[in-house]
Parts: sequence; C-alpha cells; structure tokens
Amino acid sequence: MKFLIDRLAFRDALQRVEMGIDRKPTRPVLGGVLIEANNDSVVLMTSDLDIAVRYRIDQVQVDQTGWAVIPGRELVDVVKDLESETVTVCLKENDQCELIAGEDTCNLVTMESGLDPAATPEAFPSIPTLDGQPDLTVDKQAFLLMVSSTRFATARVQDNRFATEGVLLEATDGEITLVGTDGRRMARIRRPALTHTSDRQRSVLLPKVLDQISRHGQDEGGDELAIYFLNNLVGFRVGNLESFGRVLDREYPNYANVIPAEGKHVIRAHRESLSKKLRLVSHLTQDSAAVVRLQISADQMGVLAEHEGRGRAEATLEVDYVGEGLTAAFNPAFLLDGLKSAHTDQIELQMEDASRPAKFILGENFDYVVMPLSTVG
Amino acid sequence: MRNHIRPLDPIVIDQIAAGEVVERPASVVKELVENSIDAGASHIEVLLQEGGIRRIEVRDDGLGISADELILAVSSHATSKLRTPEDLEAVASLGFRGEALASIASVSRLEITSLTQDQEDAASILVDFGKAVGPRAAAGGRGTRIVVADLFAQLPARLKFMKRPATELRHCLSWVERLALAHVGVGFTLKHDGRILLEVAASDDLDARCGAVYGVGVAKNMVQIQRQSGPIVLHGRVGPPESARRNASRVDIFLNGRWVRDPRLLRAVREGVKEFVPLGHYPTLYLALSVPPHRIDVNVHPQKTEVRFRDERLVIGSVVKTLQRGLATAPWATRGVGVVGKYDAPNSSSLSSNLTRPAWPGQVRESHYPPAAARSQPGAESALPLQRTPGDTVGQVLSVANTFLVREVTGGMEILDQHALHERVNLEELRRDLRAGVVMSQPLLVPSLVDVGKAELDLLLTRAEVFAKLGVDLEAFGEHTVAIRAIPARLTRLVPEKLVMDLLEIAQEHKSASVDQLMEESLHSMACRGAVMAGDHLDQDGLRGLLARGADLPQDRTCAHGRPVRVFLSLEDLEKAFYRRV
Repeated sequence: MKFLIDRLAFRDALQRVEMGIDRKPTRPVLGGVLIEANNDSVVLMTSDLDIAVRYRIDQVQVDQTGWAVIPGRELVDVVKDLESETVTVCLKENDQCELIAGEDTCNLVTMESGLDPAATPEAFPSIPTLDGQPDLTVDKQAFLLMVSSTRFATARVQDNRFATEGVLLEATDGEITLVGTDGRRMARIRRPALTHTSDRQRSVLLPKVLDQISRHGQDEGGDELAIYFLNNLVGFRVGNLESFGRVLDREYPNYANVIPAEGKHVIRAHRESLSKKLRLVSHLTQDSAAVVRLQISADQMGVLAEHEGRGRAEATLEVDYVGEGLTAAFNPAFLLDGLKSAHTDQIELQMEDASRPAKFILGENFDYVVMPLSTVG
Repeated sequence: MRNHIRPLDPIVIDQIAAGEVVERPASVVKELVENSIDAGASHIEVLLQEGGIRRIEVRDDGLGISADELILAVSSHATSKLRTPEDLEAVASLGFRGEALASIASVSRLEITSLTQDQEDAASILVDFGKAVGPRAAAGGRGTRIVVADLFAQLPARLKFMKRPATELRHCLSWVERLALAHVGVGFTLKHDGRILLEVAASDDLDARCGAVYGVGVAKNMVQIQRQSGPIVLHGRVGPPESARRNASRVDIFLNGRWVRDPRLLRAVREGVKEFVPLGHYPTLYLALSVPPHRIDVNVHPQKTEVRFRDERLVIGSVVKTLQRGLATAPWATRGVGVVGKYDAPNSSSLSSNLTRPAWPGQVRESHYPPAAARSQPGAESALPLQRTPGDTVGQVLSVANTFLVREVTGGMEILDQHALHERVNLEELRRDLRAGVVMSQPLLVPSLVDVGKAELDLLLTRAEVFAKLGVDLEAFGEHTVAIRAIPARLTRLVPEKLVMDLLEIAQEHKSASVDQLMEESLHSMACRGAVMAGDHLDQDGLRGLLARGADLPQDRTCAHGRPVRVFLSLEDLEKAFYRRV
C-alpha cells in the first residue's frame, strides 16, 4: 500500500472518523484506524462497536493498493502536527506503516495489514456498505436541527442498559420523528422526509452517532442525508461520510401517551424574557435541588425561587394568558434547556394542572414536555 | 472391654475446667490482675518471663489472703465475691465464679505469698499441678504475690497450642493495657525479662492511660464522647481516622469496668463511625459503658468477654448514636493524613489564632448553622483546621485529573476529592431537606418498570413507605414488576431503574433494620449515586458551585463512606517540605 495525500484533507478525514476510535479498547484493533487504499480513493474506517464511521477521500494518488490497521490516536495526533503540504503513506515490509512528510518520517506499527484489496482484515469489525435505495432521505439542515432539539433531553448515563439513554428515531409514512427523554422531560420533533421507501421504521439509537453527525455533517457537501435501517444498526450517509450507530434493544417509553393533546391553561410567553427571568431566580436555588415556581395569573407570570439561608428571588414577566391562574414547580435547568433549543421567539406552554405534564411548544412540530415537581408528604 | 463409668478425680475436674478459664499465659495474667483489683490494690506489678510461658508473677498491695484461707483460695468454687444466688444478679466485682485460682493451680506450679493487715507474718502456699503443700510462714510485705511457673508443663496437649513467646507476650500486654484503661486509680507496671513495657501510675488519668496504650500522638487527637440515655451511661475517646485499623485490635469496650468483646457491640461501633473511618476499618476506641448490673448477664462465658443485655436494642442504639453525634463535631479534620508534616493539635497550632477571628465579614455565615457550632467540644472551638471560604470569594480552583480539586485557603492549601465532597454535600442536603420536611420529588412522565422477583417486590413494597419519605414513589405493577412513579428531584443524573436496584439491595441487606436506619442507608446510597464521579469533568462554575455548597455543611471532612473529603496542607507543612523551615 502506498499513496500520496494532501495533509489537510487527511487531517480533516481523520477528524471525521476520530469518534469511532475506542479510547479504552477491549481489543487493540478497536483503537485503530483501518486505511484502505483502492485504485482511485482512500477509505478510512473506525469502530468502537457502538459507532462505526467510514470516510472516503477522493483527492489522492494511489501508487499501490492495500490496507492496514494503524493505532488511531497516534495517527490522528501525528497528522495534526505534520508540517508539509502532502503526506506519503506507505506500508513497509516489517509490518510498519511509514508516513513521510517533507523532512519528517513517522513509522507506526500496524495491527493488521494486507496488499490485496479484496481481502478483508480479520479482527477489525466489518462495517456494512450502504448500497441501494435508502429507507429515508431528509434535508440535512432539518435533520441536524432535529438532533439538537432532542439530544439534550436524553439521559446522561452511558450504561447501554436503559432505553432512555438512546434517541428514538421513527419513520411513519414519510414523516420522521425524533424523541429524547430521561424520564423527567421529553422532547419530540417531527419533520417530513424527502423520500421514503419503507412505511414504518422504529429504532432506539445510541446518541453517539447523532453527536458525530451533528459535529461533522455540516461540513460535508450535499443537502441530503440518507438513512438506512439495517439489522441492529442505523446507517447515515451525508457526502463522503457514512456513520453507523448501534440500536438499543430496549422498550422505549410510549411518547404518544406522555405528550398531552392540549391543556386547560394556555400561556404564550417571549422565549428570551422567560429565559432571563429563569436564569435570574436560579441564582437563588440550591444547586442540586433547584426548584422554581411559576405563578401564572392573568397576563402575568411570576418566577420564584428560594434558597434556605441565602434568600429568595421573585421575577415577573408579561405573558399572554386568560384564566384562573395556576402555580407549578419545576427544575429550572429543564426549562432552560428547552428554551435554549426553541426555534421561535414566542413559545407556548400548555398545562392541565400543577401535577400533570406541562407541554411547551417550542417550534413547528417541536414539543417539549416537562414533569412538574411535587413536595413529598 | 467395657469402660466403667466412675466419678472423675477432682484434679482432673479442675484441669478440664482450666481449659475454659486458662488457655494461655494472658488468661492467667488477666485472672490474677483482676483478683488484685478486686482486692483493692493501688499498684499492681506484673513480671513475665518468656512471654509468661516460663513464669508469671503478679504482685499487689491489696487486702491479702489470711494464712487459714490460703488453702481454700486454691480450691474450686471458693470465692470471697459471691454468697447467695441473688448476688449473681448484680455482680459488680470482676471475678465471681471462684474458678480461676483453682484452675491455674491445677495446670502449673503456683505459689501464693500473702500478708493481710491483721497478720504479722506472711504465709505462703505451694500448689504443684493440683497438689497443695502448706500453708507455711514466709517472708513478704503487705498484699499478695502470686507466682505461676511452668504453665501447662505437665499437659503436653495444652502446651502444644502455645504460640511463640512474643505472641504470648503480646496477648499478656493487651490484657494489662485493657485493665489499666478500665481501672483509673490503680497503677500498673508490666515487665518482661526485666524490661518495662507498660508503666501507669495510680494517679494517671484516662488521657495519660490512653497515651500509654494507644500512643501519645493518637491520644492527643482523640475526641471525647459522652452520653446518657436512660440508665445507660457512655463515655469514651475516639482516635482520628488515620489511626483506624482493619481489625478491632484497637477497640476497647468496657462494660461496667469489664473488657468485653461482643460481636454486636463491634457492629455498633462500625455503624457509629461509618462516616468517619474508611469502610471496613475500626477506629482506635476507648468506650466505657455503665449499665445497671441487673440489666446485663456477664455469666455467659467463663472468660466473661461476652455479655447478654436485657435491652440490647437500647444499648446498641446508644453506642451508635453516641459515636455518630460525638464524631459529627470532631475537631480533627483529615488534614495532613499521610502527607507532609504533622497535624498540630488545635491549641498549639500557630494558625489557630488567625482562624478564631473572622478574616472577612462574610465569614459570620457560620451563624446559619448555630447548632453545629454550639455542639462542638469545648477546647476545640473554632480552631478547626478548616477554613471555610464563602462560595463567591473562592479563588482559582485547579482540577487535577478531573478528580481532585486544589485551591488556596487561608493559611495554606487544600486538596479535595470531588466525588467525596459531592457525596457529602448531597447527603447533608438530603438530611436537611428531610428534617425541614421539604423533600421535592420528581414525578416521571412514564413510570419506569423494573422486573424483579416476587419476594423482592414484596420486600420493596413493605418498605415503600420509608422510600416515599425520600421522594421515591414505588408501586407494584403485576406480580414481578415494580413501577417507579417518582424519584427524588435532586438526583437529576440518576436513571430511575438504577435507583430501584439500589434500594432493593439496601432493603435486602438491612432486612431487620429500623425505619431510621433504612432511611440513612438509602440516603447514603442516593448521595453517592447522585454525585459526580472521579474523572467527570466539571467546569470552573461547576467547581465553584460545588465548593460553595461544601462550605455550607456542618460536616464535610469525610464522605458518606468515611473516606476523607479534603486534605489541608498548611503553609508550615509546605515550608517544611521545601526545607524553608527546620
């Protein structure tokens, strides 16, 4: 294997696949990057079994085909700090991969290598190819917005044991729904697909792959993102980037039952002013047991907080509301998370009463449900 | 051939009985010294040779035994301490069974020389493995001198079980130390092969005795604890966490002056110090319990190290509470543990004078928690080695390996363990909420379902009321599933399913626990689960927030599992480390 590559293109490509490098690999090969030099392109692949990434680089000059698995972290760091414009990557006979950049040479030990492009590495996980019609295609920007609108609500643990760690990706008759929840609040967003070949698909995805797409999808060419529902994976393709996320085999909460259709109390508020008031009174909440009370009365919302022994804060903002009034307690962090992700300047809050889920409408087909807090005893 | 049944020879009876009372030189030392104490001695001298295997001599200046009673003294079940069965109900002396001397006499060469106040000449008796010779006139001062030589020499079966002299000596020393701790007012000297190993004057107080037994350094930092609950009076001294050991070798519990080793009491000790001493460790502890004699039964075991309590729960509960309350205000922090320099006693610290007055107006913030300050021991005052900095004035905080926080504090620097601190913060805040009755719970959008066994489900449901007080709402969902409807609002990082598994584990481990105990255990678990872990990244705001919360706590020196939260290095320590100070 021998090829000449533009250093910056190589660096950027490595950054795209970097998330798939296992930082604490259970098998050494999972901490590596598989480089495949074909006749007209070089393909980089990584996989830590939760996520797999494949990236194709076209601007290369391949002298000899072949493949090698090289220590990932070292390769990323070395290429970042090389100075020349181009890098020559060459597989040596002694199981080493040589990187020549101007005056400098680095030799990295290969974990596996071969010269026959048809042969595949034994230990490196096999990554499916995304051939044929995708199950769905969606506008790239729309999908990136969907991810950022739901990802924040997912549980912040990484145990691979609980459905709420994942994001629900559902497609029904050409409409794509993403749902994120940690049991206490839930965000749901819906967008139409550009094309769809299957009518119904539903997967709970580990969020890592979505993080990867959010980070690198933007920089990829093309306005379209293709989604493939594979066996226990979901594959995404945008431009030259293909990402695969593992599906969690867990029962996802039935979101349709959670999100109230509508509430007795409907309050419309200015997003920015509500955020400001919440941030203000949050300073007088206990950090771990933060509670704010929303006191809603005609055309007015009071935002109250008290920190025992420190003081209390009370803020008021104008809202659009007609009704008998209502007071409910919330974790302010949950409210602020939602407001930060809102798409519109005006948001709507719908509530039945202080003990039932509060629904925030934060944009078109974007709902955020937060469970109010209650006092024990 | 048929073996005929016939009565045993009295000497054999005594030798068999000796197996229960006398198992090694240390038991001889214990029995003899206890006799001396019961005889009102003011100074007792113990002389040993070869760890007591060759020779044990105990001399006292007590009442003595008259010549005509000497022969009775070495026969079994003869005692001056009991007369009627009623006396047994309220045993106040150390010995009472009347077995010890006879037993020792049957397995050694025993010589007693004694002089009472009313006699002119001392008398002595010699018992050679059960065969008495005497009494006859002898030379000697007031009191009793007993020499036990060649213990078990004629009983190879017992001799085989003797350990090396050094081991036997250690056991003897332990017993003399225990007795010295228990009997303030009596002087003790222990010599081995001519070398003094322990010397306590009759006038030495408890602190001096703790110094002699546990070491002066440990004794200086011991915390005094005291409590009376009903008829039970407790007082004691607890050593600082760094003196804790993995075994109970430094735990000395005295019940009405008698050293006891009772597994239930030891468990109570572990429970009581749980938050202050690393998991699985025992503290250095002197604990004296006074319980009216009729409420206990010491006549359970010949060695009398086991006891039965009429009201066990009360006693055990008092021990746990005394330790918990006493230590909550302990002046020793974990500063200087295993680090450069030594921990200065608060009084001698050159820093203490700076610390007693507030360095800035905001420091009077302590007044939010008057009970904590008011509870602290006299003498410990505010010379606590903790400098509490109000959250908003915390300077730059450095995070090391996303695990430790380093910051400058008045008079030096402090290293904190972020998980331990957060855990402690959570625990104290949970307790505070619980006391104030303002526990917030976070109902879930959809009840989380967890599959458990039938028995597990029943167990959880029987405890559901306790959990509900903490903000956890559990409900049966079919026969094998539990539904979680609400969780404590504080635990924003926790997955509800995990919480249920934790609670189930706690309920299983503490099946017979009281409501309070179960609640405490659950709080501990929740505090830990809800805390940031070592390695979790916290930004500057997060760090400051955590430290500010830490500053509000009445107790923040150890985490809920007893590991230290913070280590303080004074300027003095640093100067010493860099040889700027000699």
